[in-house]
Amino acid sequence: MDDNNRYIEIFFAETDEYLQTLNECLLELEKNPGDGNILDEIFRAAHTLKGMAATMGYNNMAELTHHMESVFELFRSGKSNVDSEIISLIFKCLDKLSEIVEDLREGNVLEYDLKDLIDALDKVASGQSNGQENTVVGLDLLGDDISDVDLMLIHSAYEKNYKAYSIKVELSKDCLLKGARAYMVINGLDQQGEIIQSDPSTEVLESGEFGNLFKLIYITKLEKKAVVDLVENNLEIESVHVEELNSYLEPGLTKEEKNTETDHDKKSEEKSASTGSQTSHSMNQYIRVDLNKLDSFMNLVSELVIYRTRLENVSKEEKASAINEPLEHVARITTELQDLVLKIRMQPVNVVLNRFPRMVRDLANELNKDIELIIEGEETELDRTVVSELSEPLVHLIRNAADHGIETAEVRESLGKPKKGLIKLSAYQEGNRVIITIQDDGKGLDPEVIKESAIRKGINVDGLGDREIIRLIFNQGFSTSKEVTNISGRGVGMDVVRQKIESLGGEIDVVSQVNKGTTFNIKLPLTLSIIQALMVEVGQEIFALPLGVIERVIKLDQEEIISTHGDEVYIYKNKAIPVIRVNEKLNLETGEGNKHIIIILLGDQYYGLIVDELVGQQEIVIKKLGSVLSSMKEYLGATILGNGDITLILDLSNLCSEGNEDEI
Amino acid sequence: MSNRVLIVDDAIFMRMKLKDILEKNGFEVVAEAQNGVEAVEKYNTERPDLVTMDITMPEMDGVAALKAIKQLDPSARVIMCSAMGQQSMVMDAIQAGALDFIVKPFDNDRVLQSLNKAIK
Repeated sequence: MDDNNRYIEIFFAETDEYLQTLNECLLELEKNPGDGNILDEIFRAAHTLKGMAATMGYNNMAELTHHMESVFELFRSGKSNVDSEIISLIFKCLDKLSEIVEDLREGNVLEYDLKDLIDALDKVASGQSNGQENTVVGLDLLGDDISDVDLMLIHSAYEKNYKAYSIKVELSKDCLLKGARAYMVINGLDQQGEIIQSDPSTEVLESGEFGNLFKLIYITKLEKKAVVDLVENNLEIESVHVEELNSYLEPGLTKEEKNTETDHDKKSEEKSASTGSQTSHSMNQYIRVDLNKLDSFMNLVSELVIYRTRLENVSKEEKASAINEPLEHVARITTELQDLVLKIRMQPVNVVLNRFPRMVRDLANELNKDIELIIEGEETELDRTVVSELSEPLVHLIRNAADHGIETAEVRESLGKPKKGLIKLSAYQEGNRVIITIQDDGKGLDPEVIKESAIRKGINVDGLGDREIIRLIFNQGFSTSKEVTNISGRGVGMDVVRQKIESLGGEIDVVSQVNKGTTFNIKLPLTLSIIQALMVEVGQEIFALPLGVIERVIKLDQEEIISTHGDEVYIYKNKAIPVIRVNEKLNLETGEGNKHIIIILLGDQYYGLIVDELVGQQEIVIKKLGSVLSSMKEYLGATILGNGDITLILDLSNLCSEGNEDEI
Repeated sequence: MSNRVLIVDDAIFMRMKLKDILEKNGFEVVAEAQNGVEAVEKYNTERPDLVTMDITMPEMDGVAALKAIKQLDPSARVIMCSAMGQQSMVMDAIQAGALDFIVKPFDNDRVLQSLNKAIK
């Protein structure tokens, strides 16, 4: 199967997609157990997955999917009811599949013990199929609602020595082009007789938009056995039931069945109507593009912008007014290009959010709590890089909310809260930032408890307000403390969450009220590659600082810098904050200039950066430093200015944290 | 034994794969063609017992090639190879006289079933 290696990337990407679809659809299914469209979608996804895995030679994956499919088939044919136990089992299978895929992605082809899962699936499948046999025999063959016209046809057929049969054909589960297969069956029958009715209609059959079953009424001179053979002559036929229809010629025999049949039809019509929009949604067309290609596209576009600016400068200097007009067009087009490439890189956050319903469901089951998750604004878009990094911290926050935030139903009731806990996840755009909030109505954070524990840890909490005390949970010292975790319910790895968000150029804050709930606010930049920057001069050189973290810029009065034990501090908001002389950090001569101190806020710590001169604010495109220079931790990257000069962008968290270590 | 097969597919990978399946199971692949035009030519010279015909191909697609072959030899046995989503093409092909169809990605058993049925 080595030939397949070149498809492996596509295989993984598609597999991820199908697994996600399955997860989503199962959740949907749990809410609407009878929805045929969802079942069809699940079936399709599982089926395709199986086919892909088998083609790649990943047999354990294919096998597991195959057994899952059998269960789905039972759901779909209505022979088994969807209950949450079975759903949980299938979720477990999906997890296993994800696990297998992850291992494969890392190049490990391992053996898995799938026996338990497969046995459990088989148990579900076989437990139900015993009952199934009874229902199948003859009873739901077509013929219950034969129209008068058809009855007449059948009558006259019998008069002419023809026979009428009701035929129920079940295509095999892995039949791919059902429409064409059904067409072949019908085609074969048509050569020996006439099909006077079919359910679903022949149009539907030919489109392939049906389950695996179809039923026909067929008039022919052939004997029953010959009819069966005729159908079975086709491939991909699971089973054929043929029954002569003469019994149905006696009127009034199957009144009841008639009713059930029509009821059933109505239901399925409703289903298709209600979920019509969903199907069209999944019809969206996409192509996959290597992210690196997009990155270089972006780079080229930004270079274009730079040269455009240079051209504009030249045209001004040379007073070449003739090129002004075409230059304006170039300007417009490059701006549009830039917008476009940014948009292409955007991904809706639901790429990350859509796994949470499943997660919360599992957590709620596990913790025996009643939790509802509301997701708002999942269509909000963010740069692809940000989106893919966002998952981890969000998982953490939601886990915490479910685990420690939301109380058990009994506790909630005694507090007069609704039994069902609520976690609300919303995302929206605000200017060039995206705000994501995670809100729960659980027990909240108690500042008193955090304060006590902070004091025990020797953290000075004097003069801190409640909000500031709550923010202590983002501190490193808190994360490892089991104690605080158990009492306050939070704190596990919060510093990791904070670091992650900050590394994405974002910030996180928390508001909490005891017994009312906790809200985390995350602010993220729309994109990582274009940022607003403050240009400063340090020792004859120009540097760019990301504007996002800058709190304030103050003209420096040398006397305000206070020396303590060789370190320098600056008093800001009545607090001493560390001062960092950028020129010393970068080993540059200090220039003569109008010195300013730039107050930046990283997490909850202020720092003061001393620079020689302010140049101005502008939008810059971050370009990564090549691998040769990647060890230069002081810089985030570089950017090209309008005049063609290259400017380095300072990595502030790095500059400042180094300062910290020195202090220690 | 009537098991001389002509494989028509524009993708080398698919031809290799099919050929592999067929040869392991006692079929003789007498020719390969990578588009409809070639398929008709090779059919004419080789007169195979069976043709596996891809649908989507450059120059001349599988359905057109099927029709051309059927004109050359009304008793030609042709099995269509289709990808998902080519339902209507498959139906056209069956109307035009294709014996059967198999769907990519190929399931070995299914391919053999179909081929064995076709040469019966």
